[in-house]
Amino acid sequence: MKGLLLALALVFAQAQPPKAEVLVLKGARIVPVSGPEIDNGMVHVENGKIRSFGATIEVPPGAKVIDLPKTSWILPGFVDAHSYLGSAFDVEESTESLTPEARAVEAFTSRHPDVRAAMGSGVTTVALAPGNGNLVGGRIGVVKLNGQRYDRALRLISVGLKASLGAEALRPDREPTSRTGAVALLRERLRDPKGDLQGLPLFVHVSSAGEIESALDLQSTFRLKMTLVHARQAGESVQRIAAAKVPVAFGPLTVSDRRETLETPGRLARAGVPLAFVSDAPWTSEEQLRVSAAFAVKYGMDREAALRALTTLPAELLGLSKDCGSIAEGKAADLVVWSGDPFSLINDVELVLVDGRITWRKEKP
Amino acid sequence: MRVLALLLAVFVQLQDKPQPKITAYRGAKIYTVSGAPLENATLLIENGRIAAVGKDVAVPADATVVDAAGKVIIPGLIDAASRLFLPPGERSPGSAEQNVLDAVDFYQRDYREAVEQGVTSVYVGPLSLGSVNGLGAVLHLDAAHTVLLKDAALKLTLGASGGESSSALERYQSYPQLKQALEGARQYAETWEKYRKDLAEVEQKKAKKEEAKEPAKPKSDPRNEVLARVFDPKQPLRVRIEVHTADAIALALRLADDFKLRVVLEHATEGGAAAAAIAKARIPVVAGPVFRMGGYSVDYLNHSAASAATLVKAGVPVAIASFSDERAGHTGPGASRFLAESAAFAASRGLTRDQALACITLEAAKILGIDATHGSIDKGKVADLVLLNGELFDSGTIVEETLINGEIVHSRGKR
Repeated sequence: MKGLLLALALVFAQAQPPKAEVLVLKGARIVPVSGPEIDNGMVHVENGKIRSFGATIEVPPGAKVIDLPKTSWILPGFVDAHSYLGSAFDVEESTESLTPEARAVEAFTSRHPDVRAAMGSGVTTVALAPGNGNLVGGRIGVVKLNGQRYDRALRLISVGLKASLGAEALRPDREPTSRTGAVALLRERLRDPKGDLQGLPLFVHVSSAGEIESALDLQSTFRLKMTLVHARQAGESVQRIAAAKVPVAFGPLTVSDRRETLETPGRLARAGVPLAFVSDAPWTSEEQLRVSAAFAVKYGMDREAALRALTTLPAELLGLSKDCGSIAEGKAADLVVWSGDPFSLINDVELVLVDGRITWRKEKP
Repeated sequence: MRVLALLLAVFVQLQDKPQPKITAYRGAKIYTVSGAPLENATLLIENGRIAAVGKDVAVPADATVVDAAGKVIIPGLIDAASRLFLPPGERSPGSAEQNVLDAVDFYQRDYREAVEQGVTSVYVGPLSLGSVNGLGAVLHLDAAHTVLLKDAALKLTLGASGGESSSALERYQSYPQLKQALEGARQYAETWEKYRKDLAEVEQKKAKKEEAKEPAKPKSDPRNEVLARVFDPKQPLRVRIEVHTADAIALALRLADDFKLRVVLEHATEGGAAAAAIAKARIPVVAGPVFRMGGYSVDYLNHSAASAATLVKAGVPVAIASFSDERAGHTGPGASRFLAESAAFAASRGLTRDQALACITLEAAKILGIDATHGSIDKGKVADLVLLNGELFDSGTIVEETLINGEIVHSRGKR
């Protein structure tokens, strides 16, 4: 435990980006997510943080003012609650089924083309997860898409444990071979008060309604801090999930999905289930994270809920609420300037700031 | 008894008042696509056709008038590469004489969701392994599933991966295969041409009672019958070549030039890198899929949502299509429902809204060869129309009505 803390402290020390300029973004519609939208507003960025924002704020002397088109929108950088970005799916220890000490961040390659491509996606914070092939795959970590090398992109090595009750975790050549076996193994580990599954939030990959039931049973028995991941068939257990007050990291939604799946995020949100969208990158690209939200809105999800599902909610699930997920004074200046409403897919990212530094700018045609 | 009376009354009413044949949509913003958008305009539909469109159109007294103030009307969307009606996983080795219409299953109901999103016509083509795949067709999404255009194109595949693994050598076997097939077909066409000429001469001589020897009749072959149509000087059969990588695109352009084919490129995944060459060759592209999932296939390694925009800006005629390609992670024909979203997402990389709309209406119609009757809102064209509650590419906009042949095939509520 001490070693882990030290490692974390080290990560934080190294993660400090080079000193950023004092910037004022001016003229756009500000969508803080955690508060009312502001037309033609301003955001003051200093020391990598959001210093202030509003309809009119004082421009500090020496600040660089970036005038934005009135039609553009400023949103907090999106937070992807579950991905394998930059890992080429090399995130499973296939000979064992319980590898709680494995860290998904180890597979992250900051120079991977997908990571580069994600710089202009509107997503600025990404959870890196172990795969679905292990009953307990290991630690979920967090990186920021700041365009820098691994040690500076890395934010947290462990925000939770990834477990899988999906068919992918069942193999004929090792335990567990069945869902009953999988649940029994997990119970055994969870019962151990000194075990390695204690104290960490559990992110459980589930797909079918039966797998969702199993996960919720475990949650209620052991009073776990649990998030259901993917939960494609959650539409069949909306009330059960809502009653258990278990959040869902849902998605990605794609053009191939059936209508029932497309309607599921809206139904979950209406039932009061906290919902965050996931890209599952590289299964879909980071730039498609907002596509999931746009499709969900098209199929009945409330706009505001969909917006939270890209920002504040995933930040909360990953324990990053204090750092990012909304435009608020003191939070990291992870800001994305869009050419308009990001749910209208014809709009695009114009400018990205991570920790107050401009990391990406759209090329002029 | 009262029921009978009521029925009789209804019957009499129907007899007395035949349904007016003219429908007028008044007050809408109309995107004709062939010209500038018209604000607060009127559209007349008569006998399934567009009878008039403009700002100063007089509405006949007997017309059914629809108040469309605040609404938007666009042409019915055309998906230039759809998988609607096709069985899943259909990837058998094809051949020229295979016709997609023989694989179409009109009992599949997925098309209804596409209609609800404003799609009125789709091109379906053979999706096959091998280099010569067969004939595609354009279908109308009316209840009768009318075939708008039979033999719309001959589908070829050049340098696409065969499955999970694929070597460059394996992929490019298709180029010599295609050359050989086309060369054979050209000779076939020439042999028959010569035969017909010789036969005509013999007939002439016989008419003059001169002695003449009947020319030997060449062997007929169904495969070459189809392939030879690409050389028809009057109405050459369109050739749609599936290509992904930039080098395969270069080979396709060479084939088009060598054999003087009327070529359309499909996918052109790396088309962004070859945009100038495609533009120079004046070859249109059916671009897509815009949304890729999974992505293990070699063909989609360099997939980019920006490729359609790059092509349009280079001057290439582009249709954006749904494609629903399994190798791009798609399952089922669902992507047709998201044709507008596909165009929007592609356009976010540098197209205007008008360009994006054209890519799924008029440009698609031109590339398919149905633009004389479809693809824009012009007098005389078929009344395939979509009524929206706002701008097509804005979040929150909903298709209120879809019309095919002037008939409402989808409606969100009562008028």
